[in-house]
Amino acid sequence: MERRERYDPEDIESLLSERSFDELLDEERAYVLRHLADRNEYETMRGLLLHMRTSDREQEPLIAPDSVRSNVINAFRAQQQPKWQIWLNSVGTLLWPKEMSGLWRPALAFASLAVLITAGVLLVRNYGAEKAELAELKDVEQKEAPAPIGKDGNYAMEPVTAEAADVAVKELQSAARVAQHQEMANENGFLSEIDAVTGSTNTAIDLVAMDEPLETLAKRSESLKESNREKAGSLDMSKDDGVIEDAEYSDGALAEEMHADETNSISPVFDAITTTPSAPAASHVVTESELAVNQSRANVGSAQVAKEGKFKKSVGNASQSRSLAVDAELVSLLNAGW
Amino acid sequence: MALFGKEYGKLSDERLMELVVRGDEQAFAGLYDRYNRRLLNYFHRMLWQDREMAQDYLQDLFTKLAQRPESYDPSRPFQTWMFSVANNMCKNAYRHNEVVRAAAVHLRNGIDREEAKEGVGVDRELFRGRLDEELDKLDPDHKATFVMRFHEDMAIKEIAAAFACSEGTVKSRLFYTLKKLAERLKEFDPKALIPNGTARTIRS
Repeated sequence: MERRERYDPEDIESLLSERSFDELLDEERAYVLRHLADRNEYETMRGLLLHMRTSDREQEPLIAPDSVRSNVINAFRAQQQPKWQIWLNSVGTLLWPKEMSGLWRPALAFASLAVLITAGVLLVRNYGAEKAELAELKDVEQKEAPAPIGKDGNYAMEPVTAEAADVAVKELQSAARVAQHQEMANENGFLSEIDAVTGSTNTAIDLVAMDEPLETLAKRSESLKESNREKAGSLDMSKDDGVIEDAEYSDGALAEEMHADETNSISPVFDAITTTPSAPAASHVVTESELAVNQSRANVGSAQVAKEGKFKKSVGNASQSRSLAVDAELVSLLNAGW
Repeated sequence: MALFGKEYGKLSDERLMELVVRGDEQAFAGLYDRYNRRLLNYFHRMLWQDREMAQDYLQDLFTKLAQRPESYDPSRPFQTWMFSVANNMCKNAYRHNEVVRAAAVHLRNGIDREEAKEGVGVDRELFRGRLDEELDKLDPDHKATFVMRFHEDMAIKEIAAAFACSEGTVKSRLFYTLKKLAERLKEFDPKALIPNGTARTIRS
């Protein structure tokens, strides 16, 4: 145990390197023999140690080729430079490879790029040309079509046939008739409402089915309007009476209500009407049936007033639309073949 | 401060490594120039005297250093750190090529023994071959310790730092390795192996 603690092989190594077994001192020899078997083992170890060192001197050391150095330095550069530079380096290698056999790649890439650029330019130019034509403002001289010149050198109108003029007049008249029929139909609807109120049966006329000249239709319409106005006027007179009665009634009712409030007396409304001081002396007691009739007449009167306004409006429109068809000058122009 | 080219040779390994961490290419090249031969020979001895493999490992080592210079521990001497990295790479190579190595050793065994029997006296070349063969049979740590000590001429302290072990462990490994090799190579005449005046001072 104690010997193992004092064991130091490095001391033996120095002895092996410097001295042979015979050159060792007695103390050193005793120390060596404590760790080695005999002299032969010591000499073998010494020979081995010295041989290794001398052989290393004799042997030419290995030298790394320059490619290893360049690869290592390139690895260091690649690590240090930014990523975009690495990307650019790869682009450079792609565009100009070391081996000439690899040139087909950049050639193909450039050819494809050239084709794409050419196609793009052509497309843009065509599209741009169309755009330019659309956007360009050109002063175009408007040339009027020359009228045919007669034998005498003056411009001559082309002769219009009588058949073409008739067709044009008929078309114009039919268009005007349709417009007039529509107006009359509206008017007819309005008159039928009046008939329903007044009880008359000849006011509503089927104007659409009627095939009369426009002048006669207009005249007939005017006559119907006049007759209806007369009827409506009579209705207004009776209605006005009712209204006055209603007003009197309402005033009386109000006075009675005020009076009733004062006297706290409840009396029938129709009685109060008779006792109103504002009521005429010749008045009579109004029954419920009379009141209902008067009220309906009043309603009819107000409705009629409103409808009359509409009627006047439609008559005015109808007269305007009729004026084109009736216009003698227009018809004469059409007949002349203008 | 800008450094000129001449000053790189005077800088210590550790200082150059600091510059490498900062991205100094010349400092990196300086370190490569200082250590490429030693490391190449170390790989050559450790990796079954395969020159191509030694070059590949040398390139891999410096590529790793270029890619991750920050992995260097500034508290450790650069030389021992580099050799420890190289030794770890060799250990990985041993693990991956264990079967191949066994086959190669078996093949060389038969050939070399026949050559030794036929040889007259001690052939140094034959002895070198046998020595390498016996070294390959050793435990990787013992072999690396032996190579660092007697081939790379590294001090006991540096070897201990490279292996992260005590100096006593290194001394013990060296003694037993030397003793084992002497026993296996006792067929050679020891006196014939000793050249005249080859003794030299050994770094402690």
